[in-house]
Amino acid sequence: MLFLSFFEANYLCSMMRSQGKVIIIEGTHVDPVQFLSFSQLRCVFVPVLVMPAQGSSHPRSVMQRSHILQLFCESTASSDIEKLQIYESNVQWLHSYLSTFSSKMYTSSHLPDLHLHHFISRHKQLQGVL
Amino acid sequence: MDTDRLEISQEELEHTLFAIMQSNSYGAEFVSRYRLVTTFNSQRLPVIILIAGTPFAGKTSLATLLSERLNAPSLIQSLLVYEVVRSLGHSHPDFSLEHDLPSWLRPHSSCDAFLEAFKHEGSMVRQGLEGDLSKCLEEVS
Repeated sequence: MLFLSFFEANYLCSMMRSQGKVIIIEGTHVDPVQFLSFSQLRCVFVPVLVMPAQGSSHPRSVMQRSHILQLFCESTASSDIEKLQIYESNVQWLHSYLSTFSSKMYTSSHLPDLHLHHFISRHKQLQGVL
Repeated sequence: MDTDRLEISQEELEHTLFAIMQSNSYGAEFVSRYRLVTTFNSQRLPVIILIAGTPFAGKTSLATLLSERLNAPSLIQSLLVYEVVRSLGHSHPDFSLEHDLPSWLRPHSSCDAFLEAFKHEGSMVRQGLEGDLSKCLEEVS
Protein backbone atom coordinates (compact mmCIF):
# COMPACT_ATOMS: atom_id res chain seq x y z
CA MET A 1 0.00 0.00 0.00
CA LEU A 2 1.25 3.48 -0.87
CA PHE A 3 0.67 6.47 1.34
CA LEU A 4 0.35 9.83 -0.34
CA SER A 5 0.07 13.19 1.29
CA PHE A 6 -3.17 15.09 0.80
CA PHE A 7 -1.40 17.39 -1.65
CA GLU A 8 -0.01 14.52 -3.73
CA ALA A 9 -3.33 12.64 -3.74
CA ASN A 10 -5.24 15.77 -4.72
CA TYR A 11 -2.80 16.46 -7.54
CA LEU A 12 -3.01 12.94 -8.96
CA CYS A 13 -6.82 12.94 -8.71
CA SER A 14 -7.03 16.25 -10.53
CA MET A 15 -4.80 14.87 -13.29
CA MET A 16 -7.01 11.83 -13.70
CA ARG A 17 -10.03 14.05 -14.19
CA SER A 18 -8.25 15.93 -16.97
CA GLN A 19 -10.02 15.56 -20.28
CA GLY A 20 -8.68 18.51 -22.21
CA LYS A 21 -7.41 18.16 -25.72
CA VAL A 22 -4.39 20.26 -24.95
CA ILE A 23 -2.05 18.99 -22.29
CA ILE A 24 0.85 21.18 -21.23
CA ILE A 25 3.73 19.55 -19.39
CA GLU A 26 6.36 21.91 -18.09
CA GLY A 27 9.39 21.67 -15.86
CA THR A 28 13.11 21.13 -15.75
CA HIS A 29 12.57 17.38 -15.59
CA VAL A 30 10.90 17.39 -19.00
CA ASP A 31 13.13 15.35 -21.31
CA PRO A 32 11.60 15.45 -24.83
CA VAL A 33 13.05 12.01 -25.65
CA GLN A 34 10.94 10.42 -22.94
CA PHE A 35 7.70 11.56 -24.55
CA LEU A 36 8.36 10.59 -28.16
CA SER A 37 6.55 7.27 -27.82
CA PHE A 38 3.31 9.10 -27.02
CA SER A 39 3.10 10.16 -30.65
CA GLN A 40 2.16 6.55 -31.40
CA LEU A 41 -1.01 7.18 -29.42
CA ARG A 42 -2.32 9.62 -32.03
CA CYS A 43 -1.27 12.77 -30.35
CA VAL A 44 0.71 15.75 -31.49
CA PHE A 45 3.97 16.22 -29.70
CA VAL A 46 5.38 19.72 -29.48
CA PRO A 47 8.66 20.35 -27.69
CA VAL A 48 9.14 23.94 -26.66
CA LEU A 49 12.35 25.24 -25.18
CA VAL A 50 12.28 28.24 -22.91
CA MET A 51 15.22 30.48 -22.25
CA PRO A 52 15.50 33.24 -19.65
CA ALA A 53 13.91 36.53 -20.61
CA GLN A 54 16.85 38.89 -20.18
CA GLY A 55 15.83 42.10 -18.51
CA SER A 56 12.25 40.97 -18.08
CA SER A 57 10.35 42.98 -15.51
CA HIS A 58 7.75 40.26 -15.01
CA PRO A 59 7.35 39.81 -11.23
CA ARG A 60 8.08 36.12 -11.43
CA SER A 61 11.28 36.63 -13.41
CA VAL A 62 12.45 39.18 -10.88
CA MET A 63 11.56 36.83 -8.06
CA GLN A 64 13.42 33.94 -9.67
CA ARG A 65 16.51 36.00 -10.34
CA SER A 66 16.42 37.14 -6.71
CA HIS A 67 16.01 33.56 -5.62
CA ILE A 68 19.05 32.32 -7.51
CA LEU A 69 21.07 35.25 -6.25
CA GLN A 70 20.02 34.44 -2.73
CA LEU A 71 20.87 30.79 -3.28
CA PHE A 72 24.38 31.30 -4.55
CA CYS A 73 25.72 34.70 -5.27
CA GLU A 74 25.26 36.53 -2.00
CA SER A 75 27.43 34.06 -0.19
CA THR A 76 31.21 34.23 -0.25
CA ALA A 77 31.66 30.80 1.35
CA SER A 78 33.89 28.62 -0.82
CA SER A 79 31.43 25.70 -0.58
CA ASP A 80 28.65 27.89 -2.00
CA ILE A 81 30.89 29.15 -4.82
CA GLU A 82 31.69 25.54 -5.65
CA LYS A 83 27.95 24.74 -5.73
CA LEU A 84 27.42 27.67 -8.08
CA GLN A 85 30.16 26.41 -10.42
CA ILE A 86 28.61 22.93 -10.43
CA TYR A 87 25.19 24.40 -11.09
CA GLU A 88 26.43 26.61 -13.92
CA SER A 89 28.24 23.83 -15.76
CA ASN A 90 25.25 21.50 -15.35
CA VAL A 91 22.89 24.16 -16.67
CA GLN A 92 25.13 24.76 -19.69
CA TRP A 93 25.17 21.04 -20.48
CA LEU A 94 21.42 20.84 -20.03
CA HIS A 95 20.85 23.84 -22.29
CA SER A 96 23.02 22.32 -25.02
CA TYR A 97 21.16 19.01 -24.75
CA LEU A 98 17.70 20.60 -24.90
CA SER A 99 18.74 22.87 -27.77
CA THR A 100 19.03 19.82 -30.00
CA PHE A 101 15.23 19.47 -29.90
CA SER A 102 14.26 22.97 -30.84
CA SER A 103 16.15 25.69 -32.65
CA LYS A 104 13.61 28.34 -31.69
CA MET A 105 13.36 29.42 -28.09
CA TYR A 106 10.57 31.27 -26.38
CA THR A 107 10.14 33.55 -23.43
CA SER A 108 6.97 34.86 -21.82
CA SER A 109 7.45 38.04 -23.87
CA HIS A 110 6.65 35.96 -26.98
CA LEU A 111 3.21 35.08 -25.64
CA PRO A 112 1.20 37.70 -27.53
CA ASP A 113 2.35 35.99 -30.75
CA LEU A 114 1.74 32.41 -29.61
CA HIS A 115 -1.44 30.59 -30.59
CA LEU A 116 -2.40 26.96 -30.87
CA HIS A 117 -2.11 27.02 -34.67
CA HIS A 118 1.46 28.21 -34.24
CA PHE A 119 2.33 25.12 -32.24
CA ILE A 120 0.49 22.81 -34.61
CA SER A 121 2.09 24.26 -37.72
CA ARG A 122 5.48 24.18 -36.01
CA HIS A 123 4.90 20.55 -35.18
CA LYS A 124 4.00 19.86 -38.79
CA GLN A 125 7.38 21.20 -39.83
CA LEU A 126 9.13 19.07 -37.23
CA GLN A 127 7.33 15.78 -37.44
CA GLY A 128 5.32 15.76 -40.64
CA VAL A 129 2.09 14.82 -38.85
CA LEU A 130 -1.34 15.64 -40.33
CA MET B 1 -26.24 36.42 -45.20
CA ASP B 2 -29.66 34.81 -45.74
CA THR B 3 -29.98 32.71 -48.91
CA ASP B 4 -33.32 31.10 -47.96
CA ARG B 5 -31.68 27.72 -47.71
CA LEU B 6 -32.55 25.21 -44.99
CA GLU B 7 -29.58 22.93 -45.61
CA ILE B 8 -25.94 23.60 -46.29
CA SER B 9 -22.98 21.26 -46.52
CA GLN B 10 -19.84 21.72 -44.46
CA GLU B 11 -17.90 22.42 -47.64
CA GLU B 12 -20.31 25.16 -48.72
CA LEU B 13 -20.32 26.63 -45.24
CA GLU B 14 -16.54 26.82 -45.16
CA HIS B 15 -16.46 28.28 -48.68
CA THR B 16 -18.83 31.05 -47.53
CA LEU B 17 -16.85 31.55 -44.34
CA PHE B 18 -13.59 31.94 -46.25
CA ALA B 19 -15.21 34.42 -48.61
CA ILE B 20 -16.40 36.48 -45.64
CA MET B 21 -12.97 36.24 -44.01
CA GLN B 22 -11.20 37.40 -47.17
CA SER B 23 -13.66 40.27 -47.65
CA ASN B 24 -12.74 41.40 -44.12
CA SER B 25 -8.99 41.38 -44.81
CA TYR B 26 -8.42 37.95 -43.25
CA GLY B 27 -6.48 36.52 -46.16
CA ALA B 28 -5.03 33.19 -47.20
CA GLU B 29 -2.83 32.90 -44.12
CA PHE B 30 -5.85 32.98 -41.78
CA VAL B 31 -7.79 30.56 -43.98
CA SER B 32 -4.81 28.20 -43.83
CA ARG B 33 -4.70 28.48 -40.02
CA TYR B 34 -8.44 27.85 -39.80
CA ARG B 35 -8.15 24.74 -41.94
CA LEU B 36 -5.26 23.48 -39.86
CA VAL B 37 -7.03 23.90 -36.53
CA THR B 38 -10.36 22.49 -37.73
CA THR B 39 -8.59 19.47 -39.25
CA PHE B 40 -6.87 19.01 -35.97
CA ASN B 41 -10.12 19.24 -34.01
CA SER B 42 -12.09 17.02 -36.36
CA GLN B 43 -9.49 14.28 -36.01
CA ARG B 44 -9.61 14.79 -32.24
CA LEU B 45 -5.85 14.66 -32.01
CA PRO B 46 -4.70 15.70 -28.56
CA VAL B 47 -1.80 18.14 -28.38
CA ILE B 48 0.93 17.63 -25.84
CA ILE B 49 3.00 20.76 -25.44
CA LEU B 50 6.25 20.05 -23.65
CA ILE B 51 7.85 23.13 -22.14
CA ALA B 52 11.44 22.35 -21.33
CA GLY B 53 14.32 24.54 -20.29
CA THR B 54 16.94 25.19 -17.68
CA PRO B 55 15.98 26.16 -14.11
CA PHE B 56 14.66 29.69 -13.56
CA ALA B 57 14.09 30.24 -17.28
CA GLY B 58 10.40 31.14 -16.84
CA LYS B 59 8.85 27.85 -17.97
CA THR B 60 6.06 27.99 -15.40
CA SER B 61 5.25 31.59 -16.30
CA LEU B 62 5.03 30.74 -19.98
CA ALA B 63 3.03 27.56 -19.32
CA THR B 64 0.53 29.35 -17.07
CA LEU B 65 -0.02 32.16 -19.55
CA LEU B 66 -0.24 29.70 -22.43
CA SER B 67 -2.73 27.56 -20.51
CA GLU B 68 -4.97 30.60 -20.06
CA ARG B 69 -4.56 31.58 -23.70
CA LEU B 70 -5.37 28.11 -25.03
CA ASN B 71 -8.06 27.45 -22.42
CA ALA B 72 -6.16 24.29 -21.53
CA PRO B 73 -6.86 23.23 -17.94
CA SER B 74 -4.43 20.29 -18.11
CA LEU B 75 -1.20 21.88 -16.96
CA ILE B 76 1.21 19.37 -15.45
CA GLN B 77 4.31 20.49 -13.57
CA SER B 78 7.10 17.93 -13.76
CA LEU B 79 8.52 19.12 -10.43
CA LEU B 80 5.40 17.94 -8.60
CA VAL B 81 5.52 14.59 -10.41
CA TYR B 82 9.21 14.32 -9.53
CA GLU B 83 8.43 14.91 -5.85
CA VAL B 84 5.64 12.30 -5.94
CA VAL B 85 7.96 9.80 -7.66
CA ARG B 86 10.69 10.52 -5.15
CA SER B 87 8.30 9.96 -2.23
CA LEU B 88 7.09 6.72 -3.81
CA GLY B 89 10.68 5.58 -4.29
CA HIS B 90 10.96 4.67 -0.63
CA SER B 91 8.31 1.99 -0.99
CA HIS B 92 8.35 1.06 -4.69
CA PRO B 93 11.46 -0.33 -6.47
CA ASP B 94 10.37 0.96 -9.90
CA PHE B 95 10.42 4.55 -8.66
CA SER B 96 13.78 4.75 -6.99
CA LEU B 97 15.99 7.82 -7.24
CA GLU B 98 19.38 7.57 -5.62
CA HIS B 99 19.74 11.23 -4.69
CA ASP B 100 17.60 13.78 -2.91
CA LEU B 101 18.97 16.67 -4.98
CA PRO B 102 18.02 16.97 -8.67
CA SER B 103 20.77 16.22 -11.18
CA TRP B 104 21.61 19.86 -11.97
CA LEU B 105 22.52 20.59 -8.34
CA ARG B 106 24.86 17.62 -7.96
CA PRO B 107 28.49 17.34 -9.14
CA HIS B 108 29.15 15.11 -12.16
CA SER B 109 32.42 13.94 -13.65
CA SER B 110 31.46 14.87 -17.22
CA CYS B 111 28.68 16.13 -19.46
CA ASP B 112 27.76 12.55 -20.35
CA ALA B 113 27.50 11.59 -16.68
CA PHE B 114 25.25 14.57 -16.03
CA LEU B 115 23.03 13.78 -19.02
CA GLU B 116 22.74 10.16 -17.93
CA ALA B 117 21.53 11.28 -14.49
CA PHE B 118 19.15 13.84 -16.04
CA LYS B 119 17.70 11.26 -18.43
CA HIS B 120 17.19 8.83 -15.57
CA GLU B 121 15.19 11.43 -13.66
CA GLY B 122 13.27 12.30 -16.82
CA SER B 123 12.41 8.66 -17.30
CA MET B 124 11.14 8.44 -13.72
CA VAL B 125 8.92 11.46 -14.29
CA ARG B 126 7.71 9.97 -17.57
CA GLN B 127 6.80 6.73 -15.77
CA GLY B 128 4.98 8.73 -13.11
CA LEU B 129 2.89 10.37 -15.84
CA GLU B 130 2.34 7.25 -17.95
CA GLY B 131 -1.02 6.09 -16.60
CA ASP B 132 -2.61 9.49 -16.28
CA LEU B 133 -1.44 10.73 -19.68
CA SER B 134 -2.62 7.58 -21.42
CA LYS B 135 -5.98 7.96 -19.72
CA CYS B 136 -6.23 11.59 -20.85
CA LEU B 137 -5.38 10.56 -24.42
CA GLU B 138 -7.87 7.69 -24.43
CA GLU B 139 -10.65 9.95 -23.14
CA VAL B 140 -10.23 12.49 -25.89
CA SER B 141 -9.78 10.00 -28.72
